[in-house]
Amino acid sequence: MKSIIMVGASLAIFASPAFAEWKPDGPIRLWIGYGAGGGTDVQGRTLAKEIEALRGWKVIPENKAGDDGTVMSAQLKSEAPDGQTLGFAITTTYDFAPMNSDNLAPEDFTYITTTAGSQMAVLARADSGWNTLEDLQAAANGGEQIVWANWGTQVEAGAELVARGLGISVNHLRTEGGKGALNALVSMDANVGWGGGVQKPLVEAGVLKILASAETGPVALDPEKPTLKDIGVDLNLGYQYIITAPAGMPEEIREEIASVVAEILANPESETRQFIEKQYPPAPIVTQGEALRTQILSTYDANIEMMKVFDK
Amino acid sequence: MDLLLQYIGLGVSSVFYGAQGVLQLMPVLMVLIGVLVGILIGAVPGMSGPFAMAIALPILVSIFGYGNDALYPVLGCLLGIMKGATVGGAVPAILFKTPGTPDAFLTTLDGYPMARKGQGRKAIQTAHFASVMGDNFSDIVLFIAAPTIAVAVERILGLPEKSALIILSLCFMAAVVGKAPLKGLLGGLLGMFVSLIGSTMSGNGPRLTFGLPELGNGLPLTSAVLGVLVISEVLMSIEEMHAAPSSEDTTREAPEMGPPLSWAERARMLPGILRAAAIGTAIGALPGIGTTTAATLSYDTAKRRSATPEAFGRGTPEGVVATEAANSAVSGANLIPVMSLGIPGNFAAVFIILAVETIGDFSFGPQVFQFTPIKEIEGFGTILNANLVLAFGIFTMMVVANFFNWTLGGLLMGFLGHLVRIPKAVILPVIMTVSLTAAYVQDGGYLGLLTAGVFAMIGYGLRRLEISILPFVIGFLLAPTLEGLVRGAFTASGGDAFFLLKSPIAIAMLLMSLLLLARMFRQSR
Repeated sequence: MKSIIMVGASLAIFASPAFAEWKPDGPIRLWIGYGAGGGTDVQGRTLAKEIEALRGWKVIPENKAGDDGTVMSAQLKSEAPDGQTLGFAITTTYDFAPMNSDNLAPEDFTYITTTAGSQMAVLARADSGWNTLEDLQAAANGGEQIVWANWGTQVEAGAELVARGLGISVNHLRTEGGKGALNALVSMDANVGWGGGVQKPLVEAGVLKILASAETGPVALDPEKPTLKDIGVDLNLGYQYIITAPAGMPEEIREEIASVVAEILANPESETRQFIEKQYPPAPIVTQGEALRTQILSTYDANIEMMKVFDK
Repeated sequence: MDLLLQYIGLGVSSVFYGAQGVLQLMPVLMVLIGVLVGILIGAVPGMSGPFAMAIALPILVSIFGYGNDALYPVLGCLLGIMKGATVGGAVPAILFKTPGTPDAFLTTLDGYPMARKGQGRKAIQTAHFASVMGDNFSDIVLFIAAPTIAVAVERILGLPEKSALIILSLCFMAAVVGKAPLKGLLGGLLGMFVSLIGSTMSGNGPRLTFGLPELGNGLPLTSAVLGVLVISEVLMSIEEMHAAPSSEDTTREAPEMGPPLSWAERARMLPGILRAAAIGTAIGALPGIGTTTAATLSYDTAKRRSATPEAFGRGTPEGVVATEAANSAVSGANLIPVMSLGIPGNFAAVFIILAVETIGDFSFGPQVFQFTPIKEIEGFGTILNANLVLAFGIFTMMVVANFFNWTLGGLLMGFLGHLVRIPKAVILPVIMTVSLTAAYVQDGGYLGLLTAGVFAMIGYGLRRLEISILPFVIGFLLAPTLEGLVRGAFTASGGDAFFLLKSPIAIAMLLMSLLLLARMFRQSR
């Protein structure tokens, strides 16, 4: 066993110079698709710092917020795919948003790596007295007006599908980012809303309550609650944080950047990893290469199918 | 009550202790630097507090960067400048009859005659005492009113009411600012129009971007504000210099300073200070009405109430007290609508909001004052409303700034008499260079420069047409909030066409807006 590790280690030592063929020519720009201070921003900035520490590359994060990462992506698309300009957003930016955009397509990008996954859940205020989606359904049927807080077209469509699944009617409220949805809930502008991970402190403080998980499995904060699928709504709104580049990036550059990120996220001491473990439990999600590309493209197709419901 | 005290405690200690519990001096140091800069800038005629804040903000952001760690030092410095400038402006007004800041203009009426009578020291100390007292008074009102109003607003007002409130504030501002209300209204509408560029929150992509993906999230805020406010002012000044090149005064001798102000005299001033501060606070809490209005109103009231009205204008300390206490009280009170509702009322408030929006994930509004119970969760840390802690941290820094104003402000004001006037030919190019560099560095290179250039032209045009800039800037900043609220109110009502008219509060506020509009049109005839 020991010898295998030794062999492995020596292989890694000899192999690493071969993999590290590519080096950036000057500073790398890391364009963050969301505003300063949010979850994506913190992740992107700590990651940039750790890449710099690990490889000595200079990485300069820059916020380009707007429309769920699409404002950033529209600019990223026309940059050179030489590894000097990278984007940091969420998978929704690439596997849903292009549907409503004339100048974005999933093929416009190279998908380098994911870093973490969401904890997508249906939320309500604790003082609403609702515990499950059935309670929400009963309240709606009892004549209460339901306003659902959404931060984007995809989750709004999701909310509508849940409402149709429950046989109730809801009104929608568009908010700015996940944080805006929480604010709308807390300030009683809405009585149901989505949360992708930022809800953690408010749920633990007992202000908000999780009614259901919108991931494929239960959410870590409240594992008792059913998924949407369990209650008959075939919907997965989970997303991952993702590093991208313009299409046509050479394999060796993609692999080199992907392996740096994987190395950082595998290190239990890493600040980025610790942030992810806390905010997006249980651990980083690292999907790379062909698997990631396939995931984006097939989810895009699935999302197109999902939206067809509304064309009727 | 316990919870309130806990939050106040956390807020106070968050200024002095960093995330890991280590003592940090940076926020306090930046407040100190801000106060000193503010007093100096305030004493230089032609420069004002908001002007200095506009230039300081991008410099501070490039030093401290983004994120919540940067919020305290940056905001501390800006608050310091804001407060320092209210004090500094009085010195040249008293000694040389040239007010350092526009709001110190009325101080010349009695301050300058006092200095001529050989009571210069007394006049300056009166101005300092009244100014700092007025400022402290309005801060106390702010500390109490902002959380109270926020909590009430959050309980009572829904989306339609909040939309109506912003419409009412914009109408009110247009009506009271400047000499021609209709021009103010047009300026505000123009500001709202240019803010339409960029994101729509509709999910249908950006609008009005001329196909430039860089404009997808709207015009870069800092560059736009620097352009319309600072660079256009520089352009106007250059033009004035060109028209009258020899208008620069040579430095004048400071007059005989005379004896200092005694404590008994200070005590006698207190009722006057209290009255002036109350007027300043009330005016300051309303959006759009500036320090000058507050000072004028307070001066007139003091004169009417005085036993010796004939002494006003001939060098009575009462006159200095009335103007200085009132114009300083405006600055704290102006933050009441900012902190409780997110609505800025003057330029200083605009820069505080701008700083907060550029730097961290904190934003002003009623949600800040949500008293979430503080809980310790194993493996995660403490659960609390971090924004509320920040809000109390901001209050703490204001108190620190007041302390510096009390102590160093008094000392420094004594020396300002020797301040040589900086010629405009030197100061204007410096301001221009700093603003353009700031626009380039902070807002994405040439896009920032271009935005600053275009907005400088807009600002220049507005000034030449004698349209007040304030409604333009505030319309520009508030329009996205208003759009979000109106959109939200509409969809949340299920697409009801009368969504704004569903509640009596909203109807009342909209009716008041209509009345203001009608008044504006009637006045313009």
